[in-house]
Amino acid sequence: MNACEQPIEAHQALFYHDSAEYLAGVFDFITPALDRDEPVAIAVPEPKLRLLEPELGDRAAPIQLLDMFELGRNPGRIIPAVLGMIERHAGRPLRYVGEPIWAGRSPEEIREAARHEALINLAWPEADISVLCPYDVAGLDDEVLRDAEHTHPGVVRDRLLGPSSAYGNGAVPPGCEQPLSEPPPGALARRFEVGDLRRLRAWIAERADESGLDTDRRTELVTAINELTTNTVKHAGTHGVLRSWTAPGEVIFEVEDSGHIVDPLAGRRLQTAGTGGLGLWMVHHLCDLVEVRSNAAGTKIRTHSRCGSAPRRRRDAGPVGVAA
Amino acid sequence: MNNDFSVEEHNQGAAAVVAVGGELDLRTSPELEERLTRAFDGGAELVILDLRQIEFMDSTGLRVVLSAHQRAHETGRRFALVRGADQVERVLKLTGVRDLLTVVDAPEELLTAGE
Repeated sequence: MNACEQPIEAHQALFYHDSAEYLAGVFDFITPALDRDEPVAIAVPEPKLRLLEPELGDRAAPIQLLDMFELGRNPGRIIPAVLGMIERHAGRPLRYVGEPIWAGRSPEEIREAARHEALINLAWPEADISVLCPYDVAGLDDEVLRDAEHTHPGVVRDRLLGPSSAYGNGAVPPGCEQPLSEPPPGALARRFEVGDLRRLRAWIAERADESGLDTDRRTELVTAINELTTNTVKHAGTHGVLRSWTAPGEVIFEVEDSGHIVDPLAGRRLQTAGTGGLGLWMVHHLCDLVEVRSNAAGTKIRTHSRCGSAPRRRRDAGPVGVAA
Repeated sequence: MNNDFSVEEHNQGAAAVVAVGGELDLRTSPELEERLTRAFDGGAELVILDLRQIEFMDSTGLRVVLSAHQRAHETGRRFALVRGADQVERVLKLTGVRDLLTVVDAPEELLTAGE
């Protein structure tokens, strides 16, 4: 079996209509593991945690419970976190409930979360893990639910698991690859080459200051965007274009170059050996959303960083699952 | 030479302390790599990279740190970092690299204790 021809148990979409069906579906999935004292992790939006916790009662103790609003704010951080869980529970079967798509997420975020769902089928070919992803049938658009059938080999309906007829063998749903929107007319742009990285960092810091980001966030942004411009001059020939603009509540950067990122999991696997792979990892962990469009014609990477009252992650925390 | 980057080395017994300042990025990292390689080639048993004067470090700098760590590991020697500014710490933690390394507040901690 190759990596993406998954057994249907390995990655299941749970289509639920209400809280009762949600609870039944999650408990059907986790109870056998809890009965055998096998590891379970649950990453769902905070209101769903509040729904689950009283039902779990004493059985919650060994379960790793995570707020998906925080963990999955940038869907690009979820696979790294789950890889960390797999590493921690090495040799034991792991059950993971992950709900990265909820009603009310922006279309950009849902596209990247759907990409994440597709990449789950490629991310851990050797690992003993089953994944259940709840989908709110009542609240989500039909297109989102169709994509869920594309990204999951198994679908649970009415408490029954069956194969998805639309499973895409790990391919990203076509809707996720539609071109990024045009930058607004007021967007600033700078063409850059290898000698410009330092000047660009100063320029990025100015944009961050104009957006009202504090010193820590400015530093994070300079660190992240510098990784993108560095990748451009390192891998993609001689030059690229860096753009920046603001949208309500966020500052956006976009790097465009002629390179092609071939590995769909780039930035989601931490590679401390070798010569590359750290830069995109850093970008995913420093920005609130990262949109990547890459093909033979070139690459655009657009980052979103929230300004103002967005909740801050703990200052010294590493990525979930990486710190020991 | 780059005026936004400096590197100085001094030896104490079998230890080499490589102190860098300024910005460690795609352009300046090769120079550090060369100096660290030279320190190992020169037979140092302990190589300490002092990052206290570094204002900015990117993934290219991290790669240099990782390759020095690897070299020390493979040749049965020791490699340590002297803690840098917040940005440097953040980058080391974010990538899990910090967990792999010995990190101290000042080179003297290792020099007086071990050499």
